[in-house]
Amino acid sequence: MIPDAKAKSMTSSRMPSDRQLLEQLKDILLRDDRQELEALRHILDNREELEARVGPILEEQLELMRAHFPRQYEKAVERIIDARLKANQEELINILYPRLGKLVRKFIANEFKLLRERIDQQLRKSRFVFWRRNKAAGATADELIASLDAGAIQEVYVVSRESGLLLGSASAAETADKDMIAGMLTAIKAFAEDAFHRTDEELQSIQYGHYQLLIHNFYNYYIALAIAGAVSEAEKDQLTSDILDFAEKHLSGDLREPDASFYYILQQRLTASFIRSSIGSIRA
Amino acid sequence: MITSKKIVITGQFGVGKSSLFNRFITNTFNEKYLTTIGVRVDKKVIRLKQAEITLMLWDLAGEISQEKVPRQYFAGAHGIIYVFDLSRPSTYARIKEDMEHIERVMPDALIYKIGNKRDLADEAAINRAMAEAAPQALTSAKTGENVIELFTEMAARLAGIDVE
Repeated sequence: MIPDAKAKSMTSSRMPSDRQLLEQLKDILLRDDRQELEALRHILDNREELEARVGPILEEQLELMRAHFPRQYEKAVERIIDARLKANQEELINILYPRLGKLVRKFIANEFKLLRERIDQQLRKSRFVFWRRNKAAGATADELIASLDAGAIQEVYVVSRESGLLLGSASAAETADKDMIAGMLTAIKAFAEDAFHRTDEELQSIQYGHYQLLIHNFYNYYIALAIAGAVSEAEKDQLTSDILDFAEKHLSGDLREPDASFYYILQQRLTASFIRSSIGSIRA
Repeated sequence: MITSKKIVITGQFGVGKSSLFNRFITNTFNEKYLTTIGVRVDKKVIRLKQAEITLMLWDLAGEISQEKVPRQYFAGAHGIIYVFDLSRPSTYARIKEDMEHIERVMPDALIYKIGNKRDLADEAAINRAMAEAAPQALTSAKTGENVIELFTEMAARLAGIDVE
């Protein structure tokens, strides 16, 4: 071996290469950073440690958000809610209408109950012979009147309040064209309400001899019941409850443009709920 | 497809609204309703390209002005047919105001202006009506000219059916 080459070879085996030198240099220079990075990795990989460090910051931010949210985002949220309400206005009103009706009815029913109790007390004191005789037979005045000519629902209509278009109907027997009846009934309602300039009040019943039409108005539709025979106040009251229940259950959607199947489904539901031999047996 | 549409027929007194109505509807409700509450409602079912369209027609008595006809009669109408008499220019003298009123009350409704009594109008009368009232169709309730076509076209447009 040539001495120079030997010396060179010995040097190369003892001396570290450039790469090794670079690595050693990196180790020296980056040791602290690498340790810190390792520590950070450990924190990031360890959920408990991460939570302990980030948790308070998030809490603080949430608190800040809670405190400032109404001021910063109130308008944006209001705009979103307004838009949603406007888009589903009809649906919302149809949902709320029967429920409001029930609340009002509950209040009125309670007031009437109190009034009736007071009247009953007065009657008992008065020793009115007729009342006593009937009371002895176990019948109220309402029941006595109703029993003479028990009422039965012949037909029921659900009609669009504006257009007068029929949304659904059911009847105990074949009658005149239901679309035309719905249209004319709407026209009569409109005429009566317009003629007396009572825009805040609505036609609620039409009596014609042995028959009567009871009309219950909702936001964008009304339900009309054609009844043959006598209906006591208690039965009318029950009918109103049944109508409100029915509306809440089956008519709370957007009824502006119902599809064709809607009429047939509604017809079945109306028949099942209202068309019975006597009013007393109705259940919504 | 089954759908129902409300169409109101209106216009000045004596222009032939009820005649148009009667020409189109065969099983009419008693006309006495017109004189009692100022409106008569009837229906006609039209079948177009497998679609069944129930037209509920409201024939209004008298004039269109707000005071005389309850606004509710127009409520929810999908289409409005405004009829005037081709042979009597006085029946379309107020057409601009009447149209403004209708468009204000029913902004979304499809409105047709119809010159009726074509059988009584000569060419000069028709030209004048075309210039002053610009009707979409000329009809004759007496001869039946264009009556079915008028209601059918309106029904098709309301139901979104292309009948061309």
